[in-house]
Amino acid sequence: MTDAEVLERANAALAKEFELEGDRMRPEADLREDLDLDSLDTVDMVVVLEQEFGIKIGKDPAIASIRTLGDIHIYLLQKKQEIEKNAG
Amino acid sequence: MKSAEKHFVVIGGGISGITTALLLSRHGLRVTIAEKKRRLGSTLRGFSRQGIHFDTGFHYAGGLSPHGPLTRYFHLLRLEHLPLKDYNSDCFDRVRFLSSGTEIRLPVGREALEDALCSAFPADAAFIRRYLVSLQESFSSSVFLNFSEYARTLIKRKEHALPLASVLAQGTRNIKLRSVLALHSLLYGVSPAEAPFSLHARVDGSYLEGVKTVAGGGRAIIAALEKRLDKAGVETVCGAAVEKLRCSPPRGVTGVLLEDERLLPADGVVFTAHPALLPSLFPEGSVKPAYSRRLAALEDTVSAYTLFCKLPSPPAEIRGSNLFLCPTDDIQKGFLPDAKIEEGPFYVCASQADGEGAAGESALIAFAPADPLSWTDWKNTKTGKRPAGYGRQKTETLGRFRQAVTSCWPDNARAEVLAGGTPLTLRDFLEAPGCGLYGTKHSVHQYNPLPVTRIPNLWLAGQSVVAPGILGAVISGVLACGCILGMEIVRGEVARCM
Repeated sequence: MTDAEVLERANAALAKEFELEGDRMRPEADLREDLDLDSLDTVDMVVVLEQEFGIKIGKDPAIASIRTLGDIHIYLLQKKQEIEKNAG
Repeated sequence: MKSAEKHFVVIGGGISGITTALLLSRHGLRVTIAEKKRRLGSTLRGFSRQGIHFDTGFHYAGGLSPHGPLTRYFHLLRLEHLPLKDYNSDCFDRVRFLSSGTEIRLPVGREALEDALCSAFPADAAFIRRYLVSLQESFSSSVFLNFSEYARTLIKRKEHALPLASVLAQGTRNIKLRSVLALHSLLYGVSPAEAPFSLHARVDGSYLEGVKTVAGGGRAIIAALEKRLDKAGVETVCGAAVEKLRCSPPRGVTGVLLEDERLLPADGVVFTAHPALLPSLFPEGSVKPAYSRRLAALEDTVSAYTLFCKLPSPPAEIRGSNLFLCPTDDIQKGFLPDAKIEEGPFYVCASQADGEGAAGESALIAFAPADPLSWTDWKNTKTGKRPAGYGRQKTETLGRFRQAVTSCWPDNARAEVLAGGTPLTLRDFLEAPGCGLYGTKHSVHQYNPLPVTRIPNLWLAGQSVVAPGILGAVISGVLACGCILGMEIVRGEVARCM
């Protein structure tokens, strides 16, 4: 999976599961202000991303610092790098 | 608010639902309990075979000393008149290791326990003392277990959020000691590798004092609670499952539709069944798909194999105590998905209706951790209607289980098996879709559902929200009522009841 595919799949899954229109899914979109997602939604979001990518996120403290959709992208790409490094 | 006109429906008539119903009705709300099974409290009520009663929901509990937390909640539920029976104060639990043939006896009381553990593991005495201080501190920091002002002054320590196994591994290399200290993880069904130390402390800490049972067991508790419900005017609707919640945005829940098409109008609903069953009740479009997906994806606690046996006379090992058998020194292995049943660990206890059957006969129940994955071939079948292939695998597995218990405890050879259960038996009996023995897992990796939901006027309670066991279930009901009526009001009510 390329980095671009990761972001595309993440956006599509989040848009579907949180009923968000595609044009709102910009990297600079603030989860709270622009996407109306609160802290309870963040917990649901973890499960959406875990299931979409078959990864474990659980109670990763890094999730607490996520503010924007772009932060989610960065988190997922870091996770991808970690997985590729461990596999290699 | 004219509260007398408000009507609440509580879904699920177990101990969490009954607690919720009693507290809400005390505040002037009209309450109906909707229970899928024919009677309330089926887990607590147990079942009978050949005139012998088996207690499925309640065997023993801690925190029943005169000022203990469970005593306080028994007062809250007006159960203080129930006669209690002490477990052996010098040995309420005995732990046997097959490898060395050693038996460690756990006495009631922190100092006595410390002495017993230090004499069994002298090289680790310093760690044992430190560990028990930490356990008690974590237990006391819960404001629903400790009602003194002291609880509020305790800082939740970071290390209390670590997995139990890490806390133990940092303190000792002795695998047997780790297993003894982690033993009660079997009573909440989460591997020490995943259970937060704080959860372990909330369960284990209660066994430091007041280890008792109720005379007559779970049946006696449920009978007393039914009287309370009756007196409080709580209506109960049994034998009809809930089909759907009725919602009307933005007001939220407005009613509960039963499978027989009866509609129970409601100003509020408290759902106390397994949270994975909730999404199917949501009307379409009432929540974002992600919320349903998370509830459905919650991982369950460990499942179990169970044996319900008759013995000609009660063996000393389970008279006033429980027996934990460890075929392998490391009990954590039993929680691994590919663990063999022979690896244990096994929890053996007397059924509390002991002596109520034929003269001198005694009932025992044995539990072993189980992985439901071995039973997926039959996941679409129901109790009483399973094919022969299932029966063969059940007979073979439970035969191995029985043999493994006997290898650790030869007295078991005298036991006659009257009934047995697989993870699927448990699933159907407990209404636990993932076959978990204690609802969803409270683990360092998982966020359990909160009492507050995404639908206005819908709340959650049950062991999946707070913690398993009677204490966890009752506190979950108290917490849900706190969200509805005001947390300080409800906590104050609990604080005043002793």
